[in-house]
Amino acid sequence: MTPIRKLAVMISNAAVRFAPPASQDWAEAISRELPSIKSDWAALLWALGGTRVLFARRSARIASLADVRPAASALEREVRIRTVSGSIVTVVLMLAFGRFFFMTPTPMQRAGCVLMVVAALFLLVQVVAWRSASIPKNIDLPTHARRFRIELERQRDFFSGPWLWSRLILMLPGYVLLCVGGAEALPATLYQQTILLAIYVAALIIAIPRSLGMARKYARQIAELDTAYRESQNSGVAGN
Amino acid sequence: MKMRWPPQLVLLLAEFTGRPQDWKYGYEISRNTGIKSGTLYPILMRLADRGLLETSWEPAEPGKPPRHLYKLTGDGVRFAREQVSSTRNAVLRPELREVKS
Repeated sequence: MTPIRKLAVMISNAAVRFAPPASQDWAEAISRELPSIKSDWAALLWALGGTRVLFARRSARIASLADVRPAASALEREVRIRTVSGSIVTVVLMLAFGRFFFMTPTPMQRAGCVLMVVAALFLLVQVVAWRSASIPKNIDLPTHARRFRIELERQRDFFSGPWLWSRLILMLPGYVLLCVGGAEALPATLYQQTILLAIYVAALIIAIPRSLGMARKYARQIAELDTAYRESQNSGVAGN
Repeated sequence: MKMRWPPQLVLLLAEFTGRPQDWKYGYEISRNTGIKSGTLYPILMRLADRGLLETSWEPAEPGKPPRHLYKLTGDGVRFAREQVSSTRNAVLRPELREVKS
């Protein structure tokens, strides 16, 4: 097997492994075609194209009202994963900084720990408040579309505006105090504390475009949903 | 219900309407139509989601992993014929206009 063919197989296998459950069959289908493709480069392009499809399918496009139910299920799954993982991370953060509060010698670091616990608690409250609102499966399609739109708006707001900025702003002062307090208590660690603070600030800055990107994704889905709804109204079809 | 489909849809449907009763492989469709996997599979997925395309795994043979097969459903064949004929008419119309003038 040539290196290019190996790469194609590797990409294809990774796509099968990481494909969302709803796309598993399709990932397998794309992967199983590889042995039939004679040219190695064609096989690589096939694998790359197929992988792109599976990743694009993660954020379902809404081309018509028929897409609403699968898109709503995908959103529900996505938000459920975020709620669970976000809750675990914030609880771990609270426990870690809570424990550090009793270990740290300086008042500044203690204040930092308190602020970090408060910030993590605020984050936990947000993550739980924005958990997925389950949409009943047996309602008619237009009602399902309206409920889905409300849910998309909620999720868009989670990633933009005051909720985003309040999260980010609250996460900063506690960590600054921790690092400054650490450098003050142990001046030899000034360099390490600066690096740690820089990494933390960079992570917060990176979170801004990522969050706004998510907000844009939900806004795009709202626009697509509105177009699909209008088209269905124009054609007089909005059945189940 | 109006839907936005990619322009390659008609090529794909024309490939199926040739022999609608036959099962086809993904790569075979791609080779015959020139549609790349990145465009082909989203169309196949959407057709399947709407009940216009039937999918199946071919029977397993020792040492050869089964491949996915595709065939239009009854509704799919009707949809395909409509789409193909309306595209053909749209393409022919300007020529007819030229002949008339």
